[in-house]
Amino acid sequence: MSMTSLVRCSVLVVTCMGLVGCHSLLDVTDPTQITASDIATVTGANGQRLLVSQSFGGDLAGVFREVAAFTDEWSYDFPPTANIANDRLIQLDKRRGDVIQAGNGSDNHLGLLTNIYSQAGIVIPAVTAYSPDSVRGEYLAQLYAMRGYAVLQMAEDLCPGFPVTDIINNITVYGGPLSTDSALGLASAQLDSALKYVRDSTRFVALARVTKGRVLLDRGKYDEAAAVVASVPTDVVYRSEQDIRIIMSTFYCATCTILSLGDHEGANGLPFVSAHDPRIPLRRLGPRRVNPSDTLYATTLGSSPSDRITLASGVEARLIQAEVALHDNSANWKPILDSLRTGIGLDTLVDPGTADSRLDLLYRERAFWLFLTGHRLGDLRRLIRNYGRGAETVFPTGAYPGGDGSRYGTSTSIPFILAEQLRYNPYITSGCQDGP
Amino acid sequence: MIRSTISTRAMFWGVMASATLAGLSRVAVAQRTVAASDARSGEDRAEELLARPVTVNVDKASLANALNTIAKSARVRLQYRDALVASYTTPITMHFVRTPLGVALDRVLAKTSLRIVPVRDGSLSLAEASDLSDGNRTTGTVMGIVRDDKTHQPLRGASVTLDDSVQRTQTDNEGRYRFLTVPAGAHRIAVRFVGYARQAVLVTVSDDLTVTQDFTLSSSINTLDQVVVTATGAQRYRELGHIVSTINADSVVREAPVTSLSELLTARVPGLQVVTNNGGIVGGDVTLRIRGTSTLYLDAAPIVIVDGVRYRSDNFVGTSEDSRPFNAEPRGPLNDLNVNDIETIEVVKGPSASTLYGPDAANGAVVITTKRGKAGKTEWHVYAYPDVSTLSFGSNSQFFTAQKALQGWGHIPNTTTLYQGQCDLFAQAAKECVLDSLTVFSIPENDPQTAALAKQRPAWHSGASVSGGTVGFQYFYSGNFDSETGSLHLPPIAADMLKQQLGVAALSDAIRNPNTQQTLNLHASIASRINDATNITLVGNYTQATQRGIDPSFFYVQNVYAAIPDPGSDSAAILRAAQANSNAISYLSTTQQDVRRLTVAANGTVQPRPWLRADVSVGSDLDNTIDRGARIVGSQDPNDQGQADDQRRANTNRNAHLGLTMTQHPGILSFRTSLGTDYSYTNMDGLSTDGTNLAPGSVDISTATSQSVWRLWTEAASLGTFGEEVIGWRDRLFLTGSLRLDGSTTFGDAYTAHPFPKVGASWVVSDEPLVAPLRRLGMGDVRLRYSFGASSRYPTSFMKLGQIGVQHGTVEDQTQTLFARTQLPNAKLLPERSRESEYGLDATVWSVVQLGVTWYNRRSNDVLEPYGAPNGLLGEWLNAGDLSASGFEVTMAVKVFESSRMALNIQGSYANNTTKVLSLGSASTGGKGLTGSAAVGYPLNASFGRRTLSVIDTAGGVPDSIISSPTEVISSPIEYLGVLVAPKTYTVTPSLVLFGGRIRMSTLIDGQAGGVQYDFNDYLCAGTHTCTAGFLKSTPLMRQAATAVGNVGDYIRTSNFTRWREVNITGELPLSLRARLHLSQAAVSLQVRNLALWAPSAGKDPESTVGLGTGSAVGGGGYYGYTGIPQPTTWSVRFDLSP
Repeated sequence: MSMTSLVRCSVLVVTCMGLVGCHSLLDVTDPTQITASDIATVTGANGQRLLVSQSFGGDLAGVFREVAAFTDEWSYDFPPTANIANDRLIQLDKRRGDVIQAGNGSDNHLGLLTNIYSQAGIVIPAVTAYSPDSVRGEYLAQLYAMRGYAVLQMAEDLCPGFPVTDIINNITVYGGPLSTDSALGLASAQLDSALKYVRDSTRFVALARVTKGRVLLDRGKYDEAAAVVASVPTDVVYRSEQDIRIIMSTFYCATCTILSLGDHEGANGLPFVSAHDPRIPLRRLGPRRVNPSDTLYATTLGSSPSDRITLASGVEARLIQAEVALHDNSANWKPILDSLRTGIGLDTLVDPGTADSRLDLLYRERAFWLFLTGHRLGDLRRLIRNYGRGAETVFPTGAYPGGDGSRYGTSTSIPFILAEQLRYNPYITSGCQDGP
Repeated sequence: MIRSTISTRAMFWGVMASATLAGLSRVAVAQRTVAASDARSGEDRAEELLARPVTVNVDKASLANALNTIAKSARVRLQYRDALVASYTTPITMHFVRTPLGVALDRVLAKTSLRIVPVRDGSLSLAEASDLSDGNRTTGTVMGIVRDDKTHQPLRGASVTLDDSVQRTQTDNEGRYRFLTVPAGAHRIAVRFVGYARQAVLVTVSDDLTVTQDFTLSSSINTLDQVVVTATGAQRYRELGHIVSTINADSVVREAPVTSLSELLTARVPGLQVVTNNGGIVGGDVTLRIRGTSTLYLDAAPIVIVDGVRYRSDNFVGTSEDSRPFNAEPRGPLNDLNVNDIETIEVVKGPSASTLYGPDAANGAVVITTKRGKAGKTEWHVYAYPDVSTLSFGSNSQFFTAQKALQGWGHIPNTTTLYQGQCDLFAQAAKECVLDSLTVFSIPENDPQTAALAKQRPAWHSGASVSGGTVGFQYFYSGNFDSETGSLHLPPIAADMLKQQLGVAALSDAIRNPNTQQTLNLHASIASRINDATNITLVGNYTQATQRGIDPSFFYVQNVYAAIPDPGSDSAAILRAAQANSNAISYLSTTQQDVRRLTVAANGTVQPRPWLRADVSVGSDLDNTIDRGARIVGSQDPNDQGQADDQRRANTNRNAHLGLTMTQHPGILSFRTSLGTDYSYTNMDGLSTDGTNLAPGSVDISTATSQSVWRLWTEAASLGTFGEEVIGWRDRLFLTGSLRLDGSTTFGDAYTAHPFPKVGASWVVSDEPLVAPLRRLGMGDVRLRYSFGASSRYPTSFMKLGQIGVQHGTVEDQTQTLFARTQLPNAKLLPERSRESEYGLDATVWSVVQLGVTWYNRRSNDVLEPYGAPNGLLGEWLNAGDLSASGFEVTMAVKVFESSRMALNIQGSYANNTTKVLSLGSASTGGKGLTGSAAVGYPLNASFGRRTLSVIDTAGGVPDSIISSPTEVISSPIEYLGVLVAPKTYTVTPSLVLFGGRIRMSTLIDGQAGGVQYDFNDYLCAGTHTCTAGFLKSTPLMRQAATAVGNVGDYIRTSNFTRWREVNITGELPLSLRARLHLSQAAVSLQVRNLALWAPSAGKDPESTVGLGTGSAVGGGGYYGYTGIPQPTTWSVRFDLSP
């Protein structure tokens, strides 16, 4: 090889090798759509908060749907050919928690609530770091309140032994099994944080206080419950970003599985149809498939896109105060309820005279005021837990009306799917124990 | 110029004989006939002599010294009289490195009147040129035609060299080549062509004479002297330690029923599987797999390189938002390239692929070279092939998955009252009804207006090309237009129903014919010779296509069974009832994809010295794709006013390659040093818009009252540098060692190059002197080879960095930009690493049997797998475990019979690939679960599920023909059901040539074995609980009833098949007719594709697999794979004309 060739060759080799070190060739604009640094800004933190706020209602809508199925709010109708074995909502409607817990599907109820809890937890550090002082407290209050709301809903709906899992610094931190009261305690702590940060936002104050009142009611701390909601005005409403149609996507077709309003479902159910109560406006769907003489109904709640799901309100604050009053044997329970009813043109209530019937009346009022807002299962379980009612006196029971010859199960809470948790969560070794 | 034709063989032997007779002083030119075998043997010896490499460095030496030095280097005896050279006193300086002896001597003697003459005894002698010719003229012409030895058809594009690259050319459309101004004297003409054995002959050129030297090449699987073009430049096959399969695309396309690149690749390369997701869909996607799968979730397809440019060949973009609107079958970008523009395809399968082409080539590389112009007169080629395709839906429509509507009719027990409702197995068990009859109805099969869902559809493929040029400039331009209409169409009954639903009198063409494609291809290539050492080629491919896609559930015409009016209803009555059912069609969408794609490449070669060569290529592949879709009929939700999707993507691939190759041949050794670097940039930038609540009757997304927009974005750049050294010994043993450094931004923001080694060995055993006796017994070339290589696969960007989603929505009464983390990052993520060993044997026996055997073993470590997390939490990616793959490939070609009038050849191949999950690493411990279902000890693409062992009829007490409650006893835990990608594939290709090549017939039969698939029809039927044992013989009644729980394991079937893939009969027009039509070439071919299918399992076409997905196709008992539209049978007539 001549010297000239050697030099030329060397230049080419050096050029080749030099390209390896030329990092400018490897500068890419953005290896993914949005990077973590992109949202480490005021706008990014607020955008994250807003998405959690949006999904708060969406996730809860799915939770409320399951509560409605499990309780007497909704009933199902399906054609004989329907494959119902793997239909989660129908198994919920049948109160077959045993079937659900043994299933292999995804865990809708726990999953949706965990999503709210963990996503709000992810956003809290961002809001703390980047939100302006003027709004930081309000935003943190909202996020903590949503976390508290999610855990409260878990405690009210799920069977004891469910985990509360969080994501901290991009690492999943699995939770161990919790009793109902422990979970309510966790919810209470989150809501206390919300109340610590909240200042003058009426909406977020209402959300935090009413949810805290609900927690206290569940824990049997009646006076504290009444005190915490006392300052919430009756006309205040915290609505989700989702309209109620997300729950009520009911339609009728000859071959579909149909959601319809319960009407004395399983003997113990309330007459959500036959009461013709203006708080639950009706829409006729069509004949029941098994028994065509029955008519299926949906509600027109949410017929307007602006009808958003109510998550906490002054009305609920008054209902909490009424329940505390009834619990304390105060006569004030009825004026509180009557005031709410007359406000929408309903007649005042007639006092049934006995403690049990008064309690039934109060819970009937709660059921109609809080229809399809995920409260009903917590109410029924509180009737068992706090008031000593038998499960078979409050939940739908007896022959299941689906035409498949089955009967209602005995579950009083919604289980998580054991198989899914066993795959991931090292602290979960067995399923939860059904109970109030 | 005096034009004459000289029999070179005869002349050669004449020269030798004369030389012997006349002594060493003078040699006379003579023509003499000798025995053919002797001539052949002498030719071979002389050829070998003049081809011997010489390495000489002489400064200012005398001619005698120079000649002696050359002869010594070549170990050749050179005889001459001293007086003959004494008169030349000019000092000679020369430097030859591994230069053929003949060339070296020609150059040394260029300014003399002396010429070299081979002598019979294996030595060379020197003679005066004037003694060898009639005068003192100095140049002549060599020309000829290169033909296939069996078909006698001219071979276009064969490489012809004069004296080992002193001059080089390619044959034109008529197989002609020509060298002008060839110095008088002995010259070596060699011909190489992909798929054929190399040939070389010695010719003697006389002044002003034209020597005609024709060649007839014999086809060969892998001849050792065949040249393959890899990233390190052209190399002889004998030097490679790994296998490279080649397809002579131009020859195949002219005589085989292929209209797309995927069809061209199907069943032609052992170990390369072409999976058509939905064979019956025009323009549907295809998936390439080489030696199975080596990854779970990364792109498992080989890379495709067209003229040096990375060519986007699949729809894998590494995000989850790349699906086509409305579940329409993805369109296959691989087939954007027009097969008529392709010259050759080389498939690099072994461990060397990623060493040569970077980490993305860990699955192999498909290297495509398009056609180039040839120096010579302007040549035109026109082709056209109309075809007709049809899908088979007979009464035994086992390969079509149309849903069946079933209605059980019964009466209430102990009455004659008709039971109102579905008298299914449950109702029967509950004693609610007694089954009287069963109405089975399928719209596709029973529609009396068409009797089928598929129509015979014509397609049109046509194109033309023109090429030509001079020695310094060549061009090739071509254009192609395809127009195809898919066989599937909206059945008239469904059309009538839809018209009622939409309230229109006529449906648009897009609805009636939902699957069409029009494709325009333009191809241009210009090559310029800047100087003797520098060549530049510019290539451009432009594709414009419009395709209407189709959702495989297009046929989902619901609720028909609800409309079956009465027991015993005939088809007409059912259809009338169905027409009256406004809900019968619940879902119907149309999609259209518009593609504009431009691929340009610039390739340059600089060879400043014979031993030094630099290759540079830069290019880009750009495509703009617009996918639009609209749901014509909404869901059953009355609030749903329809939906439209609009997805726009711009894909950019840019890459550059610089390679440097140096060769040295000191003595019996040879060195080939290659250095190179590759830069690759990939970007996908797109917007995906969903619009809902369209204006009534509209399919325009702009009328949507609600729109959601996502940005689609991936971007990555990678850079790699490699060095390779090939050391040869006596041209029969070659050792290769190389090292490659690669890094990529897909692995995050820090570029870190990782080194990956490769070693290889190739030993041509048959060239060893010890085995010479075996040669005489008929043994041909025998070679052993070995190759080992390692590579890494980089995660896609979001795998390491996680994902943060962005969307727009109304929150707090304002339109806001929203963010949310949707996937956790994993800063510790590593690339997947793989290493592969390959062992091989190539052998030729008695010149009639050629055999190639390759074994390989691959190991992949740190395989990426998503950790799914429970519902409500965020997943992340992990380096999950280890995989292995091993297998072997066998190719064989046998010349069964051969004569001047007729020849019969059979080629065949067999490949077996076995994969296994070796471990799932840390992901399987520590409580973390994986979303896939890869299981240790089982293959990739495995399917797992439960089987129903028995069914307990609890209500009835004992099993009978009535199922009361399908409480089934299932296998537990989940069991292995089989592998969804068949591990074994085979092909058989007989070809017959008659009448000296004027009639040519060939066929291709291929198949697969060892895999499984799901049976959709059985599953669906059983799921409705209406099937009776008599209706579905393949599934016991009890198991049908148990389907309520969905044990997919009960519906697993073998996917074995044998398909009569291709049939071709080609005839050449008679010479007289061609002359009358002024055509130099004219051929007509009758071609049939997918003529017949033999498959033991009913259910669906085993090749129409939906859901193979990316790398994974992780089985897991998923429900994909049920549906599939069969491969159509296509009849075509192809005309190839050249004026």
